Amino acid sequence: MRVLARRVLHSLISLLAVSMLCFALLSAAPGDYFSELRLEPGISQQTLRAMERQTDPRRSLAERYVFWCESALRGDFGNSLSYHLPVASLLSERIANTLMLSAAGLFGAWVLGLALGMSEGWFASLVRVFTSLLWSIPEPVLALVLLLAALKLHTLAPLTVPTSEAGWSLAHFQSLAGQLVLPSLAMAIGYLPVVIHHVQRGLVAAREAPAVEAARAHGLPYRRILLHYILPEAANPLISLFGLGVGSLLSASLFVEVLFGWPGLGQLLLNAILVRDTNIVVAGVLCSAVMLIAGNLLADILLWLHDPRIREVAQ
Amino acid sequence: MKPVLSIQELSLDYRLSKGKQVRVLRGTSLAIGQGEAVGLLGPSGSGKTSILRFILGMPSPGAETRCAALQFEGRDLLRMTARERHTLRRNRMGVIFQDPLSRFSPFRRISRQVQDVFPRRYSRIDTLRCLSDVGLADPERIASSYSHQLSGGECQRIAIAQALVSEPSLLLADEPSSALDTVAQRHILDLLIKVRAQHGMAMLVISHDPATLLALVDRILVMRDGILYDYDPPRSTLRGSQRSIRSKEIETEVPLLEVRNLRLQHGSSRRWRSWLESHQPHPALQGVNLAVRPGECVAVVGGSGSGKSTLARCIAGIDAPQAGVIYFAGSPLLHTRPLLLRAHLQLILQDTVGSLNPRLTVAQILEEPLRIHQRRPTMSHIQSSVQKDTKDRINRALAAVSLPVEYSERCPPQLSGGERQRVAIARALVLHPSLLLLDEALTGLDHELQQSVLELLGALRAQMGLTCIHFSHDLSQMLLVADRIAVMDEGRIVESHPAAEFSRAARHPASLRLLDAMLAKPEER
Repeated sequence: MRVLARRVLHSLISLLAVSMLCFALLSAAPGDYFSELRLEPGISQQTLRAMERQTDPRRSLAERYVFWCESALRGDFGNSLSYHLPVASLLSERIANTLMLSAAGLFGAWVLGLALGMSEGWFASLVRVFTSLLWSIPEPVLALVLLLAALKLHTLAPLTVPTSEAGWSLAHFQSLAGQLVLPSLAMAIGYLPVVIHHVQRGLVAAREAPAVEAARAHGLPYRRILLHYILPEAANPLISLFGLGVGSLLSASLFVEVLFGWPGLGQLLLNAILVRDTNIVVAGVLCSAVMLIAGNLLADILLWLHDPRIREVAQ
Repeated sequence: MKPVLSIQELSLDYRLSKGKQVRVLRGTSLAIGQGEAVGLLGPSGSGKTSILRFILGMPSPGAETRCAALQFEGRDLLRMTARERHTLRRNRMGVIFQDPLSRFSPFRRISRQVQDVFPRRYSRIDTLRCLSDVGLADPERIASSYSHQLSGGECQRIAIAQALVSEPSLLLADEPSSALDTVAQRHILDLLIKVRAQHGMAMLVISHDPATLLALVDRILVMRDGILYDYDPPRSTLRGSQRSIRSKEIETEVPLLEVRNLRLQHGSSRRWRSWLESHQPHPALQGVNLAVRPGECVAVVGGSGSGKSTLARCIAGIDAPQAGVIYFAGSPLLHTRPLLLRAHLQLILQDTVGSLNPRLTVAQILEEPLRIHQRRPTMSHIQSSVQKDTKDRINRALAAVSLPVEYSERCPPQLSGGERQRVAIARALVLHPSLLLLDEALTGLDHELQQSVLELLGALRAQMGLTCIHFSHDLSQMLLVADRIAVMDEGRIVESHPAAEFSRAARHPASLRLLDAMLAKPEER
């Protein structure tokens, strides 16, 4: 328990550091949201000044940061300058979309990766060739090929923005799932080689472990050797990899979101950075950081559950 | 009597890199009768384990075996499929491996791993009974433990229990006791003798130690030049032959190495750091005093955790002591020391797998210290002569540890444990050190090899006045080797006596414990 408490404390400190760094970097960058609007001939000076007055009066960086921290603790991340909406509600919707997409992708990649990676004999070599082939193709190209294939097959329905306002009826869920298939497949294929590679590597090493050899020498049933000796032996690095995957759920899907027009966090953040919509950027980066930390924490907890030696060291 | 196992015309090649092959066995035959115990004796790297794995049907990687006939209980094993061999292992054969700790999965409780071996139905009571049958006093605790929570001796007992579950007609044991400390070794041997009397199965025991085999088996075969011969035990080993000449030399002289009040605590000294790391700081050295005269051979003997290795590491300059001084030839040694001094103090470690770079060939491993310690001349004609000299020194070092020159092209993974240890010794000798620190350096070697290394060290001592400090747990061996024995316990040297008088003069409980363990060891016949 003390270990867990320490980990959470560490996480909070790193979150604080991330938010500070984010704030400092953004204010160090030249210009702000209005500097480009000023160049726009269609907007009068009065309008601009009125808009500026609506935002915070100019205060020092530290003051703004403390003020932001206070409101962030209350769950208020300020308003977006370009959307004129509270950042919290804007983000939560986008985050839900992105999570849906990348969780489906991650899940698919791991299921496929474990199944293919655990194969043996000539099929394993085939998988290895396939993996290196897949690895050498850039992700956007893969996604484009998928998109093209879908268009040829006429299965691509126009993307409607999935919102929770439509209610969670079965029909809505079905249409959502239908639309999720292609982009999440693109994500899964992008991530697949990494998973397969690590699964294969881990299993090759685990099959030669002394404990596994002893199990074979005792003539245990094959299935039991695989499930109770080889897989646990190979699991530790895979658990860490899985944690990393969970951690990058919010940040890994940018390409796919842009290509498929998926209204996720990545697109929103990209636009916000381009127009310097500070509140969105800070909150978005913070959410990614939280996800990353949560993913690592999850991996640590899983490792703790899986490996009795880690439990012992921790106590 | 119909044999349980018979092997005919077995030959075995090891495939090396670049298509080379080494012939290990050349058409040798072996038969084991019902209830007979046969020992297989041979130096490390002679292919003992490969024979055992061939019998099991799990050939070692890189080994090529050919065999005219392999019969087990009248069935031809060579005609069987892999799956049939697997079932046979489950029902008719039992195996015990060398390194018991690593042969258990760290993720599965011992009770589960024992239950896995049971053929069909089992209950917890069966498991507990089979654990208590092998002399484990507290089966409940053992069953609910993980392997890393147990000692090597306990793990080996569990392994024996696993091997006995199926009532095998043949028990194969690969160095069943050599990875254990002396006390546990004795217990395991006793247990195996008892088990054999109870179950009456045939046994094939592999070992590099004749004493182990003599205690255990009816008949010993020794591997020499790829053929198995009957073994004729020698009358006496090396007891008292070369020693005792040099005990009364040089009385008062400046010690080559003197250690004064050396202290070291593991873990960080800062409070908040140690809180974060949640370790209890454990003092490893608590004021060690030791003086070694030039040409002397001192053995620092103690149980595991007594701080021997830490002391060796401090003297070698790997660990920095927190207090105390080390004097070398009269002048204090700092933790950061000049290259020249480092060449004079060489450390040989027990774990050769970890201390040799697996990617370098033996020649490169031996060349590396020479390259580091010789400033490389830039003029080409000198360069060529230096290269020749380097090659010369490498070959001489290899010859000194009796490794053939062909080995210089192999890499450590292609060597056996004993051969790797010899390479490690050669690497230390190649620099002509004046002080050699051996941290359990003889532990992994087989009997003959230990003797040849000891003879070699003796010769070097005579030639160039080499000084040795052995750090070891094995008192019986050190009594034969060293001039003086210093006993270490809980981070201190508790007493020190000349080797000849040690058994009479020792008073401290730690020394008495070591003497007890030594006496309990099987008497060498």
